[in-house]
Amino acid sequence: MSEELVTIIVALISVIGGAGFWNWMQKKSELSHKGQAEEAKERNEFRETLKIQVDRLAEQVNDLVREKEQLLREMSELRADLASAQTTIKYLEETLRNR
Amino acid sequence: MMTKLSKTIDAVWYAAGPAQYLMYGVWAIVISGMFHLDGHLQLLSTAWKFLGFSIFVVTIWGTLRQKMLLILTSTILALAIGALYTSHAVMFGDADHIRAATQSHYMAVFVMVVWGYYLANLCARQSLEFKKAGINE
Repeated sequence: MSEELVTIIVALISVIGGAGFWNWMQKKSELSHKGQAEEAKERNEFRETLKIQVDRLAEQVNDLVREKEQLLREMSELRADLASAQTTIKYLEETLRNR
Repeated sequence: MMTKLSKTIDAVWYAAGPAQYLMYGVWAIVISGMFHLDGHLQLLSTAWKFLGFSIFVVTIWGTLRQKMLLILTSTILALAIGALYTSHAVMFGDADHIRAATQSHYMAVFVMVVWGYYLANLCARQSLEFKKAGINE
């Protein structure tokens, strides 16, 4: 084999090998980048879901607080009614006893 | 200790400042002069030196893609020169010269190839990041 041919073959092998290695590196980088992007997207989706759930829970808590206040109001009205009824009963008892 | 090591590795892995590219250009200029190839093969060393200058210029005024392509070309050229030097070393110098210098030449080619691939990959990763963020380079 002539010297020239050896030179050309050696140069070609090193260039093709180098370019192939670069292609592999490039593919690997792109895949890893794609993977990271997907992971970030999934993380964002998860965060969005959590946010929706937290908003829903906050709404539920507000509803419960409103209901509790309503119940307390009704309870105090009932207490007042009861107190007035007790007073009436006592008055009637007194009246009956004095007769 | 491991935290410091991983921090250093991270800093090296993402060291995207221009200093590295400029250094690579300078080293390409310096190391290309070490390879006294024979006859027309000498043109390869000259091209490598010219690429060193170009990397220097493109780092300052060029785009990321131009920088990546030049570094990649320089790396593959370094690989080819290394391979040609290995297969033709006996023709370029006497035995004493070969004994003394071959190791340094191999080491220089190895460093320039690994460093070049790393820098080209760094440019590619930066380019992907720009694309992801929707920024024009």
